[in-house]
Amino acid sequence: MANKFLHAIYDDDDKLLDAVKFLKKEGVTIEDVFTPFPVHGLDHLLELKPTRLAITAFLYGCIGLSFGLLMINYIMIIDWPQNIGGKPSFSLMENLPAFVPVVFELTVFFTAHLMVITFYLRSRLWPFKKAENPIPETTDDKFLIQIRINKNEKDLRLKLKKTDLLKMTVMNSFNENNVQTNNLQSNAPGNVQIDTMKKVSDISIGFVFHSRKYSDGSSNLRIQFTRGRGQQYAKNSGLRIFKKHWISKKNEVSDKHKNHIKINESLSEIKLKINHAKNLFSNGSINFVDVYKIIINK
Amino acid sequence: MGSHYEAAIRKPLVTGNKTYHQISVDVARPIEGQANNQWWIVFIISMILFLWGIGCIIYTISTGIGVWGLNKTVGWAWDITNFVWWVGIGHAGTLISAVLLLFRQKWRMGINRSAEAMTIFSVIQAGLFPLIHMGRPWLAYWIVPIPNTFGSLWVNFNSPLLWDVFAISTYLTVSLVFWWTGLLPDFAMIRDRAVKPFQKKIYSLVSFGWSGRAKDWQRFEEVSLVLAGLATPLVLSVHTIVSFDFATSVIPGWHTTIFPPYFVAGAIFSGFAMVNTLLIVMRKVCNLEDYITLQHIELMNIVIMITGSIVGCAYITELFIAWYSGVEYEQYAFLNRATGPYWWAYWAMMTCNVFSPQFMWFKKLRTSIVFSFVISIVVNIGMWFERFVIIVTSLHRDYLPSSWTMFSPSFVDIGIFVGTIGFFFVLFLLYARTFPVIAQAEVKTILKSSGDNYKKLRDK
Repeated sequence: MANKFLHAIYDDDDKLLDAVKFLKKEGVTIEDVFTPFPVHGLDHLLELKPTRLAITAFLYGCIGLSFGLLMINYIMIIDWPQNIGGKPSFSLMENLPAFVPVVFELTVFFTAHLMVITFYLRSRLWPFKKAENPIPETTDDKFLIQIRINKNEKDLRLKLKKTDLLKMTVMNSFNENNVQTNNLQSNAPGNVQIDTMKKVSDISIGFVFHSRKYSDGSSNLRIQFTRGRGQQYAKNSGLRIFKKHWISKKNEVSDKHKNHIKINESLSEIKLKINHAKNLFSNGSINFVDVYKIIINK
Repeated sequence: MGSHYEAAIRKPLVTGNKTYHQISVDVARPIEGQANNQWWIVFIISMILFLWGIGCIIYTISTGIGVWGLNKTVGWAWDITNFVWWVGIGHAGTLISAVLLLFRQKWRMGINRSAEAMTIFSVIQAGLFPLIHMGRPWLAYWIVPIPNTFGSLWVNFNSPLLWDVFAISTYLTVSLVFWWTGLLPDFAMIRDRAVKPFQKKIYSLVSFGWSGRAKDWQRFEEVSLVLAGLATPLVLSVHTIVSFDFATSVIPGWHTTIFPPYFVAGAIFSGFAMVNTLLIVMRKVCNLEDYITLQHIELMNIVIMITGSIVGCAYITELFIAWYSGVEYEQYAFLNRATGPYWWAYWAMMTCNVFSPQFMWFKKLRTSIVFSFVISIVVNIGMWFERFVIIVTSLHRDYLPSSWTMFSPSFVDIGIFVGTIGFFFVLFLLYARTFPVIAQAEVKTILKSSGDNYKKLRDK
């Protein structure tokens, strides 16, 4: 129970800011917000403490400066003083102008690297670290508010629904396998997307050419089925086409192709099947695998 | 919408009616798609040049520096010319990503990623030359301050050549972490879109598990700002120190106090020209005309014009001061530059660097893509000649007329230079196919203020 989260997903940064303002007013504790880019004003709204990285940078700079001076003092003045072109070599202060460049570079070197290392460690960023954004779209164009559920799920849902959200999901822990798509059917007003995977825009069916060409220059035309980001199948349509005569905007061959009438006829037959299957899918009467079967099994 | 206001008079920086998602798609396209034939042709040519360069480097190291065209009088020529040229080119990347960040210039966002990549790749080329010139590069660690094997004799901290070691290595590593930190959110975007398991694995590895939490972004912005604040004096110091290599010596023609600002302006000048060369091609090949717009190119041309004029002022100041100093040797060094046996190099430099950028005063010319491309190449040729003129013409006629001589490069000199150009393009071409070449997370933050669709909506 401890690790149960409600995820409210938004498709716009201004909607997100409005939602955060609203939730704050309602007294909801926001656990975390995931965004694809820095949203200005969000850290103030979430009352995040100002980061102290700049202060650490100053301290690291002081370390670099001291290190540079101590090192050069030891090497050039204490350990092995030399007369180089008559330059003063027995006092750090007198020789200092010649040491300014290296001391400066070391200051910058220490500041930059140690600050970046501190940033990586504080934000837990390193190679082989697993990403923790709950849905992959938060690095693209979605904005996600994460709220911990403590027996107040119904209340939270009602409040969240008042914001301009795209959808809402429940997650049991940080493990992605446990994501349950939320079922809001009982109280969902029309504007809330219930399960976006059922939306037609999430499946796409198109034509692609097989990468291998026949010796005469033609190649097999395949039908490609894509759903979301994970699933993609391609199946031969049974047509062999010269790619140079293919009009991708119309999904037809031009009249320069031999047998173009016959080919375009069978293409429009396939397109009809695709439309039919898409309609059935959007009604929710068939699933994605059935879409594939309807189109392929002639 | 109110918070995203930008004056209507400012030209849009993102065109083509973009949404947030469309930006991701456009940036990911070159990575997810396949390389076209042009890419392969350019890559193979660059690779051949690179391999030829490696061959010449191996020949140099196995035989000795004698295979170069150097002689007793001209002991520094193409190697140091190429070194300074490449370091200078690198400077524009840091200028765009750091100085323009401090000045809050939003047009930086479309071009900073590639400009920084250019910085890193060109500093790598620059670093090769001192390394090869050592003759025994396996002893390169002798330049770091460690006590040597024969006792505690140390490196000389009074020497500008050692300052260079610290400056260049700090510059390279700081640029690298600055670049990589900015890349994390963009690698994460590619990772989360990736369908192929291998691709997903690689981009998970390089994105360091970036998740985009509000707190991470707060730190990210702070780190970027502080790094920009550090990189700004750093970039100025690096070319200042490079100019000290010459200015602290007592050779007439080198021993001038104007060198640091003059070299820094020249570095920015040549660097912006190289950014223009690369991006004018890349925006076309990778279909990024909506992000690297004509406005970007025009602004870069203005920077080229201004820095070119600063360089021109420096040339004239040098001539004036040489005359005004009353020192015979100093006067002769400059007279010899302009009218001596290397007059053609001097006037090539003057034409390319002082004269050609003045065309950018005309709006029609600075908004012409073809013209910008031509000028960017001309400027880079000119800036190479500038270094050649400073180095070789100051050396070839020294205090003893009996040792006066000329320098002509051997095929090895040319081969190594051409090889570094090949290496640079090999790196840049690989980068263009595997890295997000636009800082998409940053561009998304300005979409609502500087996107053409949003601007139009506001203007109504």
